[in-house]
Amino acid sequence: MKILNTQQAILALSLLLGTMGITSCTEDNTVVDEPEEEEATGYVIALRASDGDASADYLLTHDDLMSGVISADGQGEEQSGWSYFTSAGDNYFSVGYTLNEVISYQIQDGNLIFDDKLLFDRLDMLYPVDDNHIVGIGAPWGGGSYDCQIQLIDVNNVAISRNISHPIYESYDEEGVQLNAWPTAAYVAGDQLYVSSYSLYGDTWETPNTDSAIVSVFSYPEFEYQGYFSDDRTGPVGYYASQPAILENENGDHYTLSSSSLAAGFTQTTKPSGILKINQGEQAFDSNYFFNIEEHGYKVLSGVYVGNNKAVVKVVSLENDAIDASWAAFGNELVMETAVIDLEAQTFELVESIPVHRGQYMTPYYVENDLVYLVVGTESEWYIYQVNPETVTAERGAQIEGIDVQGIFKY
Amino acid sequence: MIRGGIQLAGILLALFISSMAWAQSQPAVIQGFIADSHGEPLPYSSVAVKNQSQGVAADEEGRFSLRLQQSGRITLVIQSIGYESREVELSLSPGKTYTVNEQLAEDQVALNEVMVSGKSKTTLLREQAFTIAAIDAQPLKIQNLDVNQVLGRISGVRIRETGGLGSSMSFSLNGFTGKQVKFFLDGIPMDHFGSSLSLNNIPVNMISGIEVYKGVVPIHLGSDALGGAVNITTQQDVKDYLNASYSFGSFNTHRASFLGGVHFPKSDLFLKTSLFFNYSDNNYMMHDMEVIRAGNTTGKPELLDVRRFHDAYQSQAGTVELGVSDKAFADQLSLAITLSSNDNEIQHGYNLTKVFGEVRDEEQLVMPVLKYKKQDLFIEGLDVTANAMMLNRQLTNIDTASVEYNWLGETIERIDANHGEFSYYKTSLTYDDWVTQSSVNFNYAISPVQSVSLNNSYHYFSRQGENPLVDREFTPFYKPNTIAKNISAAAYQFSLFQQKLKTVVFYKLFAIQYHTVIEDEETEDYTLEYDESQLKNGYGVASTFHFNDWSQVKVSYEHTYRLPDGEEIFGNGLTIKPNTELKPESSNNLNAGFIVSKRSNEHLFRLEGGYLYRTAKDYIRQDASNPVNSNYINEEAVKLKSVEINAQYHYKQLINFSGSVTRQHNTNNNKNDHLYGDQLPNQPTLFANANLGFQFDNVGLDRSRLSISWNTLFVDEFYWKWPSQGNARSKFTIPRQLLHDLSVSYQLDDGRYNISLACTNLTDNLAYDNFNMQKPGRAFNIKLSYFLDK
Repeated sequence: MKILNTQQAILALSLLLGTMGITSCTEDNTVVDEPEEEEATGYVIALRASDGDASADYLLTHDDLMSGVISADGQGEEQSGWSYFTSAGDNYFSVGYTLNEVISYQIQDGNLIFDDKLLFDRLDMLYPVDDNHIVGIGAPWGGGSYDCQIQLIDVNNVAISRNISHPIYESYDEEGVQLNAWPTAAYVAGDQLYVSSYSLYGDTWETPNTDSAIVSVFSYPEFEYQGYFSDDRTGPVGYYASQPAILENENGDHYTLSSSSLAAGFTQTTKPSGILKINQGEQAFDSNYFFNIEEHGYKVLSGVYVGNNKAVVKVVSLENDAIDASWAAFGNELVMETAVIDLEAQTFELVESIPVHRGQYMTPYYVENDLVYLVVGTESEWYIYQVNPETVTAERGAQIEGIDVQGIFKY
Repeated sequence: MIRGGIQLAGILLALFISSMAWAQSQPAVIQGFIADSHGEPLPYSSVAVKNQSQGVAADEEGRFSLRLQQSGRITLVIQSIGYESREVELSLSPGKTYTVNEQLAEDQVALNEVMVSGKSKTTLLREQAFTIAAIDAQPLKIQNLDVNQVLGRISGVRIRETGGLGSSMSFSLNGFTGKQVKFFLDGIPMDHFGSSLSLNNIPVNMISGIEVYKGVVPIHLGSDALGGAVNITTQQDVKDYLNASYSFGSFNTHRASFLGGVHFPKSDLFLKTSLFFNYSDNNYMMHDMEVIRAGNTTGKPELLDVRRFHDAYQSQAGTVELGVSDKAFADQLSLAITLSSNDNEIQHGYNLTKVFGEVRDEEQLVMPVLKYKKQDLFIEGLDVTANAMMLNRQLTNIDTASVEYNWLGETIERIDANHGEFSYYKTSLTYDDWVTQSSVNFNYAISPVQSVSLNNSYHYFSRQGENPLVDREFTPFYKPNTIAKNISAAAYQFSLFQQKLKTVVFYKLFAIQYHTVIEDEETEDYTLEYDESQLKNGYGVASTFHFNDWSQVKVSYEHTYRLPDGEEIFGNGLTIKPNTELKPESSNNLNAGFIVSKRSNEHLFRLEGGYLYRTAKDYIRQDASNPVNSNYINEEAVKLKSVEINAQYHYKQLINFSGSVTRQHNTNNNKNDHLYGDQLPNQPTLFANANLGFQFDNVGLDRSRLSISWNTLFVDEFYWKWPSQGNARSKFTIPRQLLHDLSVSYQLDDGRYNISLACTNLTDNLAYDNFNMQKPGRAFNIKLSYFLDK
């Protein structure tokens, strides 16, 4: 028996009234030229509802990131367990961790509906190329194998249309033992797919090579290996769990984030954390550009580009990035902080109004009207925060009834 | 009035006979307990020596003591009005004490297939106030059943299996699951028996009964059970018997068992042996599976019906027990040695999109057990039972395939050659576990209406690991990890108002000490050593009141703990990390129940109802908030409530019916959680059982019996995940299951030769105990058995 409490009843009633209001509005305004713009808009949210054995993610819709409670109570498409989420075109995808299924959803009348699904072997990094394609890369585990599965997912047919096995990068430790290059982030520019990676043994998470940032180049969409470029001013780009670690500006230049962070899962750090730049059309790092984040007392982990050279990033202080905080950027420890950086002026400002918070697997950022929405989980509370990079201020928005949000998308 | 007269006469007779005996020296003493087939005491039963004038009447509790000034062979005749009489042969020596415990069958009323017997005979006074369901396995032996199939018919019990014979199973009792419920074989904890000697491979032939304690557990089981205990008893009587059976059925399933006992009356030596063997291909059909054929790289599955191809299971076990009985120093003293092993192919884990073609487990177990029992040790009324055991178990998980399999058994190349099919690394890790365990129980009857009990149970566990694929210092458990647990308990039992009110109060002291060697995260070798110890107090009270001879109420309360076990503290060396700061789980258990039982010559009606309420906290659960490894942490608080009803009806020898319904409302009790008050996920909430049997005597042949038994199981649909979360349309469920089994048995020569035909899942329903895991469809089996019981 489910009994609505007063608050829920009022909420339901106001939603109902709100819908009636919208309906009456559309009746008044007889606009006929662009009926598609009349469609309801809102957000698709991937909510992780609970911890523990029965933990599941729910893909649901929410109207406003700045108000209300994002809750799976009686709503949301249930997933088999923890999942990664991505979106391309009108499709919203969950990539299962419990079952090896990619499930595609679409929006109809403001509701998510099941579209189709496919089975996969491994998908560890996801990059939506355009409305019709997603690049998904699966990495091997167990040591002794170096081929990754570079897969092209056809969004419209929800099928894998190409699957090539090839190492992302060939790397060796001091004794000549070959390492696994684990894909961390990617982008497509022109006819090329650029993939960043970090090297680990693969039978353990030990990372003996942390001396350079490496980006491998493949042809797109054929996925033929073409080479790589690297830079030894900082460490590997990105880290485990497909974090947003490559940022693209208005000109098509890309900035790569190197965390050099123990909290991010590296077992050693040998270079400062910082940001490198790949100029539009180039297959090399810009040798004149390095934004050393450690000079500001922090390590940069993930981020999003907003515009006007401004980016919002999540960072871990040098004090918090200790060996006993290994993998803290994923877990329950409070180590994450938020900063606004200017990529060209190389300024760094902490967003003081966001509390030090928990780490996340796939760290979602959503940008709308030059404002950034991100997820902040403290000891026992989770909220969406809206960051204004111009003023370096933040405002607390919708409450999250759960333990994480793994995706924020617009519909 | 008439009954009172008989009582009085009986008491006078007893006094007279015992005073006669007292006058002489060095008598042989025969003592024991007379019960009905339910285990209920039969007060004032008569116990007499055949063809002689000597005899005695049992007391109100069905107990008797008879002193005889003679030696040599005698025959005791045990009688009670309304019951079939029994004869017991004894060979007497002067000065010795003999124990005769007998159960008499009702004259008119047939034995039910699943017989709920109030209490086991040896622990009558102590247990009466506990909430217990007991099964007499005797009538079930001719059927082809496992212990867990019998257990599954008890109210409040749900057994969930992932597949066929030997598949992994989980047991839940009123919402408590897994390690929270403790299992015992003849009072010896089964915690480390492993899978070669488990509820789902021990055939029902091997056992004589099952006792299920719901919530409050009596101290003689000396355990840290949080939510109840199950004690499986095997043949305890010292006598000559032989029982052999063989069954064959669908999915190439073969099962054989042999039990034998010999008693040498002159030396009072006895020898018992039991052997069993199980084999099955478990190659049943899986319907509408999503299959990716070899060569299909699109990820688009086809829906196909496929046969399981890597799920064969074989297990074998043997026990030999040698002992003496009826000696001055011991009623029974024995040494038993058990050897068992199994080989188990594993078709899949929890994820049916990943199929295994080579993963398997191997296990070997050796276990010597020493048992001692003596009534009236040194002084009258002091009873002692003690046992000690040692166990070595070697378990190897083998996962070394370099290819991937699909549901058609086709192999597919894989990018990660060193990855196993199941494990992150190829593995051939062997656990070498050593367990030593001892328990001693004293019970002293201060007077007929009060007694005290003391129990101490000690348990030591050590695990060492060996993996030929990895260097020694990187092998988990290459240095032994150990746990020592001690549980001490005391209880005081008393009865008031002419034994109408019986109460037991008890106290338990839980102690745990462990030593673990964990991985140094920087060097990844196993060098960090930890020592920790904890102490907890538990207590409780159980009480029962008899309004009259046909109605009774029971109430019990307990505050108890479950101490964390090896895997929870040490991890498993593969995917689960250690947690050296884990606290014991605790629970407050409240049980209330009633029993109404009416019997006439032709009809027997029994109704039993129970209500259980528990609040448990510091639940130990696996946490996976870190991508590399999970570990066990203390967290949830839960509130468990359940109501259960069990009804039985018998008409003469002809018809018997029993049914039970259980409704559970188990909720999240963590006030800081937004899921506070939500029903716990992945737990059935409503389930029921019904069994209808008919028996016809002398069908076709004299001294034959034809039995037909119909059994129905109902489990209502339940959610895999938290019920409140997500829209109902998309929620994953474990669908409602309604399964029917039919068995027809024919007994010849008064039950010496038996043939039993059974059809399980008669309607060939697609049934699930666990999310997505299909259970076998319709299956047939035939079982032949032979009994010889002197």
